[in-house]
Amino acid sequence: MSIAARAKGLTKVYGSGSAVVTALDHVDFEVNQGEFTAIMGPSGSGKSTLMHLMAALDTPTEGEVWIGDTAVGALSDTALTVLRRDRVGFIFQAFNLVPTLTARENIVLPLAIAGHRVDDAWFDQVIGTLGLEDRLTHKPSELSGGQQQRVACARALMNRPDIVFGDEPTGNLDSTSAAEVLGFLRHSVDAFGQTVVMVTHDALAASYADRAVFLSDGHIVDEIRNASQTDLLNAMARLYPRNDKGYKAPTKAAGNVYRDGGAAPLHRGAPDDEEESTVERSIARRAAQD
Amino acid sequence: MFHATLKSLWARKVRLFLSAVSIVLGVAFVCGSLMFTSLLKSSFDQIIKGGLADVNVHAKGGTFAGMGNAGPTEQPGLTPAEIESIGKVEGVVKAVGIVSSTQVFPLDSSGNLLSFQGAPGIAMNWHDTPAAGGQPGARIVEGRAPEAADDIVMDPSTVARGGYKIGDQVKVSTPLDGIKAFTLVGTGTYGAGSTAGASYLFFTLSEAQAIVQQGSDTFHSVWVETAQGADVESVATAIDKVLPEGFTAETGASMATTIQDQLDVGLGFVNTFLLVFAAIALVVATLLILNTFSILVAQRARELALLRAIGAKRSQVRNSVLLEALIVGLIGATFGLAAGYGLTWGILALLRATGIDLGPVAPSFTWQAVVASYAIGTLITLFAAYLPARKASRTRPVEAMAAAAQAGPEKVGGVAMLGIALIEVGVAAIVCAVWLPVPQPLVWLGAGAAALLVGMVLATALVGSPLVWLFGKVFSRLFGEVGRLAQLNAVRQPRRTAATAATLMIGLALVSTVAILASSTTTSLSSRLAADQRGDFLIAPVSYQPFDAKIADKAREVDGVSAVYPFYRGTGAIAGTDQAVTISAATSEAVERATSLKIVAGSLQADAGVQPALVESEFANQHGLSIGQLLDLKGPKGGIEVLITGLHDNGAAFTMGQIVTTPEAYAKIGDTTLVSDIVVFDSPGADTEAVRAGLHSVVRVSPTVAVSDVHEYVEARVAQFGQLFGVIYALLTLAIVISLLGIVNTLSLSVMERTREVGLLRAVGMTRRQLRSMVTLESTIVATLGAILGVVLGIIYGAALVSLLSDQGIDRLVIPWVQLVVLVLVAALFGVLAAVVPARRAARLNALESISTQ
Repeated sequence: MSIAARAKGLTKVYGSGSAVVTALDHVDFEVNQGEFTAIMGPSGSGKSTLMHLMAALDTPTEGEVWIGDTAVGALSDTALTVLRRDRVGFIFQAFNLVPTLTARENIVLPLAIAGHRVDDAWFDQVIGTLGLEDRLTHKPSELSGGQQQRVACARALMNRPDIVFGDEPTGNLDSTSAAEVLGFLRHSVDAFGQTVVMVTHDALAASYADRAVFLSDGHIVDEIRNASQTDLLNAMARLYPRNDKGYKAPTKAAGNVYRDGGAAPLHRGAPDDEEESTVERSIARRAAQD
Repeated sequence: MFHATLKSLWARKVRLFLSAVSIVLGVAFVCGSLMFTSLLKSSFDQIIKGGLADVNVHAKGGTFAGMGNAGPTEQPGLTPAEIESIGKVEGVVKAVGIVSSTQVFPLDSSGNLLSFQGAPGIAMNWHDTPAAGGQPGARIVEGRAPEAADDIVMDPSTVARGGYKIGDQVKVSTPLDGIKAFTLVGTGTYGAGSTAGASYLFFTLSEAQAIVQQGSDTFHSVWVETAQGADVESVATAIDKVLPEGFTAETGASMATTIQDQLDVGLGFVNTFLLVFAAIALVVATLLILNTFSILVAQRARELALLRAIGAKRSQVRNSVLLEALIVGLIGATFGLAAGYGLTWGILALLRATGIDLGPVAPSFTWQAVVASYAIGTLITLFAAYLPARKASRTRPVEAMAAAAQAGPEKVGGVAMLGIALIEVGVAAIVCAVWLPVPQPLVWLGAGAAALLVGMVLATALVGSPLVWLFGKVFSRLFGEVGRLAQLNAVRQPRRTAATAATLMIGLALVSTVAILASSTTTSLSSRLAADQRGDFLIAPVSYQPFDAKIADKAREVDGVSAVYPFYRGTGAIAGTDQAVTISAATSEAVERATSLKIVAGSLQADAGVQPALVESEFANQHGLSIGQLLDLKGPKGGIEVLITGLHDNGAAFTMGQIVTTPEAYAKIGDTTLVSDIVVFDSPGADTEAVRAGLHSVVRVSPTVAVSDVHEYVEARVAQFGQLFGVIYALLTLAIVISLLGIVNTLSLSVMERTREVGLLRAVGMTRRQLRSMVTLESTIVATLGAILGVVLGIIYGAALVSLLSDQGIDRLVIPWVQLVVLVLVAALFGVLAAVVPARRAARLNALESISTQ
């Protein structure tokens, strides 16, 4: 299996003096071609930083990133922009579309900016898969959140990029829309051989991936392949323990599983409570650590 | 809440600055105009003050010494005995006879005129009798008063311009004796010293009489000082009784009023222009402020929602926005006032540089300017902030916080419809003014133009949309997706784009109106001058003042000259009517050969010992005059009966006036020692250059007179108009500069507003260069839209104006297409320049940070 993107000794330091935060600490990471990779971790673990660096949206303090065989660090801003335009696709959590353009125009935007021709067959295939045929003339303000994110997916795939990066692409969506987007990403890997890298803290979203990589405090701490949602939750519970003072981890194995945004457990404070891995929980834990 | 408002204001210094800038610009514009108007008025007030006596005696129909247009010896004189009798009237302390002329010009060391073209050179005998109300009259600034015959005192600014020092020899061009030399013994002036461009020259009484009236011991007017506490009115009445026929005594106060009225008529154009300018400034300022503040409040929507969410009441949120507007408005108005003050200084300096010295006046903060500045600054800002503030306070907190910071697309609403209605009204009024026989067509045109302009401002979004669409087509063809995005951004907030474009539209509408007026005027003028001018050379004064008739005699002696035709011109009246008429005089041959005057009927031939006269046909119609009738003409020197022998239509290059008669008849009523123009024919085969050189040597003694061939004459006359239009252009440029700054401002704010979008575009592959192009193209669209609409308006205004002025000599409509196209291109170029800063700002944004901006 060939490598779609690679990072070596990747370090990112924010701030200076006493306010220095090391977001990434000498991380080596490879993205396999044709594979769906999920980068997981709680807030502040460095997962978004890793993705931004891999996608050449940001420059590392130290280390090097390759997309395919291209070393990103040596490129000028324009070359980087062209690289992003032609070889990388993006799906952001929110504000993914240009409000003045219709759905169709948004989808072909990177091609239009580059002055490339639109491959109509490919366009029809992607649009058909996403079920956007009758939404193409709508402006973003006339689309639902899920539709907007599907338009963003179509845009990300339109230039047949080497790699598609998603930054919490389902973070703002309801469960049905999230399932549609994730299903499409899975389909694009299976049917088109697309390489996808997605940052998420949601175990359900990560369960669509072939490979889940766990980050904690700027290091890669674990990796699981073909994991189920339960596997992922268990791994998260193990990797990111609740470690506030006076708290003893329960011994009982995981039972019920709750997803982000799902119904809250009625038995709050019960032993299996810790399996509920939410952002809020992570923030509270990290706040307690500080 | 107050504290939170201040904090929020301070935290957004850049935006605060940008919004204040728009207010500063607008306020500066308005208060600058107002201050300049009052400055102009005070300058002329100062000239009058100190220039009038308690009681002034002068010939009926004339004005006070030095301000009249009559020639020197045309005026009837008062004898010393008569002045003595005035001095004996009860309540009179002192009565001083005055001899004056407006045609005495100082020369610089190389013999050129030191005065400004067209400005009078006022010569009079020195006296230091106090002016009306005990104020100082003429006073010596430096040196001493003239005592010897060759002593001269001049006003300080003329002395400074000539680079003279006290004790220097100064040559002076006199109306009757050519150039005479004097010794400068001092500098002196009237009142506060503002001369508005005129030169003051003071001589001893006998020398003044020698220069002005060949030594005759009479006076044109009398300067009377009354006793303290005396009733000036009754003294004036008493003096009136001892005066000979043709003279009148007037109090300083009543004369000041008369002169004020005359000046107001003269300054009317300037005042109207500045007021129109101020009104336009107000519209531009309002648009700028409205634009900026509505953007600012829209951007703060989330912050305001947060305030609501944590418990602020609707009224608190609204008041917080209004308070912010008030603070920004006050700051902007204060700086705007200061900037307007600076602007007035700038205009003053500009006028000084072009030779119009308004004297030692300084712009002052008149209450009108201060009130207007703060009213505009605060009220318009409050108004601009109120609508978005109300909208913000009505939005439910959760909605506002959840919604993207991006404002949704705007709808063009009822305001545009009102604009369309106004456009229709305006066009209708202009059509009425041009094609229908309405009374006061200029008023109709003015009202129509105003309605059309306001309508266009309101409806720019609607009217401009086809143009913007066209730009989109062209730009996406030329620049691809970047061009298309630019066009979409330009129509994203049509009202904002429209308001920005409208400011430029106003400026360019005025510039193109002036351009059309200028080209039509100069073309009409030069074609008429060229068609009507006869003869090979013209000897004419440079300052419209009549000159020594002896030059005509000398010109006849020049080798190669075949004929010389002097023309006389003066003001007189027909007995039985009060109306002043212009009377020209020339020989019958001169009228036929040297003018293009069309004689409709009859001729200028003497018959049976009575002098003949031609009467303008329209004037004859109005007054029931016909050929064969006797006409009793009256002038400064006396009267004569002439026989109407013909009618003319006044269609000559230089206006002949209502009545044309012979020099013999004119000698009875006016001054034939002075001529207004001389037309010279050279003999066939004569060396033109030699004739020219000969004529030049003839006029060398009179620097106020120039020799020109027909072509030069036309050029010189047209160039004078060019100068006038130059000043107007300079003022209008200011309007355009301000609207360009408005574009910079709006564009900067728009870019800030679209930070996230910029980040997204960068992330999906737009290069910095493309981003810069996108912002620049958007700016170009806005600028060109404003320019094109402005030029179209200007063409309508210009064409309508020219068609209305066709009976005033502007009979050719010339639309300077090249110039107008250049204007649009320059505006587009300025659009590119206006985008430099915002585009750089947008391109520098970090993609990652931008997209995560809230």
